[in-house]
Amino acid sequence: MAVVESTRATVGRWRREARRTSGWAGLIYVLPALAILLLFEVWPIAFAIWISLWKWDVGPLAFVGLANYERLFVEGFVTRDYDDKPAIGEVAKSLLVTVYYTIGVVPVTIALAFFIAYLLFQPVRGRAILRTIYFLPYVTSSVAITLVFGWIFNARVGIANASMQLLGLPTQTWLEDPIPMLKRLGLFTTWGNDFAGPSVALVVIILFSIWSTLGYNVVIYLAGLTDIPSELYEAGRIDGATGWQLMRHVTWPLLSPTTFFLSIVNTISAFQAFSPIYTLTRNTGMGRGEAGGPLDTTLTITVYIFRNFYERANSVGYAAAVSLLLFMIILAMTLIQFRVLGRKVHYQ
Amino acid sequence: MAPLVYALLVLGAAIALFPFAWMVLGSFKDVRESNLFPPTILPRVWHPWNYVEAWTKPPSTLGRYFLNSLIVSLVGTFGQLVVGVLAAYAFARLRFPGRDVLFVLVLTSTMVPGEVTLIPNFITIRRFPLAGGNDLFGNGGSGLYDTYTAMILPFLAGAFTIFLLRQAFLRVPNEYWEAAQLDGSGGLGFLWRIMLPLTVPALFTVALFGFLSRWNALLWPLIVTRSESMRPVQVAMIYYQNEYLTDFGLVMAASLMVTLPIILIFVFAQKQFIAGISSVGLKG
Repeated sequence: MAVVESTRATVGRWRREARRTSGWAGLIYVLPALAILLLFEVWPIAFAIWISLWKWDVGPLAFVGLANYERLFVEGFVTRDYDDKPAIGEVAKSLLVTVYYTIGVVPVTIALAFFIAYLLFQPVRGRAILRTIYFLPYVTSSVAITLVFGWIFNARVGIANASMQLLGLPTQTWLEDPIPMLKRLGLFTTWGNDFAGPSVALVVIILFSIWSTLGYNVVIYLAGLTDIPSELYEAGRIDGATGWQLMRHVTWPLLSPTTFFLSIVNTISAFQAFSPIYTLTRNTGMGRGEAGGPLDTTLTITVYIFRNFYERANSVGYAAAVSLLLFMIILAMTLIQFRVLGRKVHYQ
Repeated sequence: MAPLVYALLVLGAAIALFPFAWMVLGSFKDVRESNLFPPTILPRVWHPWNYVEAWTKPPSTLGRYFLNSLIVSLVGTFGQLVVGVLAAYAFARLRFPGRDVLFVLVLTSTMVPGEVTLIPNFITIRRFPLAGGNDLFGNGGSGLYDTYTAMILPFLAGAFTIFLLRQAFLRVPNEYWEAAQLDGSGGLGFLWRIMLPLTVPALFTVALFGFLSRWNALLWPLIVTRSESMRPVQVAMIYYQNEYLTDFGLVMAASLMVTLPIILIFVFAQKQFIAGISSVGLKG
């Protein structure tokens, strides 16, 4: 009853406001946008929750309650291997791969981008052209360009291996290698493969992702750099600060909001990475044609959702449950971002 | 500036450019040469036929994939502009019931990641009422599955578009609005004659990113299309990868043709690209 009354009160208020202002015209203009957002952004959340309670293939098969969540949080985290010993479950392993991927991509990208933006901000010759070149991989990031990396890191004929040979190093199988990179370098050899960091295959994908997102980060840093008043540098120079000291004590701290923004945005998009992994790993598995190989060492959480949704039978409901878990993780990161940045979106 | 630092910058640029160079060189190597180890740098025999084969060999020909991508990218971007301009105009200039609540709703929708909407939206598309042989309750047919509409419709209302355009509209001085009211030309006339001409840069930025993200999209087109005559270029690249697994020259030729439109647009409009990214931190 209270709901009905408050609804009625709201509608009454809207009516009075419509009379007072430009009327319903505005509402009509926003209607197309609202209808699409409601149907394809808001409703899907409720619908995903509903689907996650079902065993679902092409259509609903059986209502299973929380069984998908049980599979996700129990079996997904701890399972038993062939010797009946406890082993890491699919979901936990996939989250671990995602974290390796994120740690591999985000800090390196941000550090490189800061460094490059700082240098590009100086009056160097040809900076416009350099900026264009650094930015090009970001706009062209797609399946097409990813396939070039597939060829470069091809185990048989790739130029990566030719370079290794030229340097007197052993050739690698790159995207087909499920062994952790650190073990290949002779470190952590006694650790379990799941816990010793990213596989060689995942490292190749990390390299691709750094290459393709670096330009975006450089441009954001360049925008941040223009906001730093030049008096600060002048004052520093008068006090005898070196270039390194200026970078360390003026530029870096003043750009910390930008760095924070980039950390969150990059982490969120790392958790959502799909195309490069799908493109580069589909032919490296055990011949199943499924992305995420070799031995699931590049199976990030998004690719895991896709596998259950698109490549496995009867697992659509389960995939929806996993996607809601990912939603919670991303939502938490977004809220942290909003809280820290004081709800400021990064605009001029 | 120390020469060493400059050298580092140039080295970094060389790394950024290398895959493009390798793609161009590779596209002229025939199947035997592209499988040599160690690889040749320059093609020993320049073999331009890769381009002809890459264009004509696949079931729908690359031209058809291009057409599909163009339709989806152009119509989608145009629709996104129309829907976005109307909404942004209302949010920026008109007072109407529930405006602030609705604007918050638009902004909140950006927090929903594509992975969550993927599965429900796929089902919504398949069971879309009265489309593709479906009845009123979405049963019986395939809905919008395997249509251009399926690739266009869900992305027509970009929250970032609305946000960006609203910012641009808010920067238009109030005097224009008041003058227009005196002239008696309010509403859509004002939007069309005054607002849009004054905010061309913002519109252009939105259009660029709209086109770019549609041209490069993979996941959604991959799952909502089935027939080769409907699929866009990036999904076609997956087909090339499967079918011409070791004919790297041919795959590179196709890759280059698919990437070239984006490179050209970028070279001619990079100022707008960079302005767009720095102004809202847009992610493609």
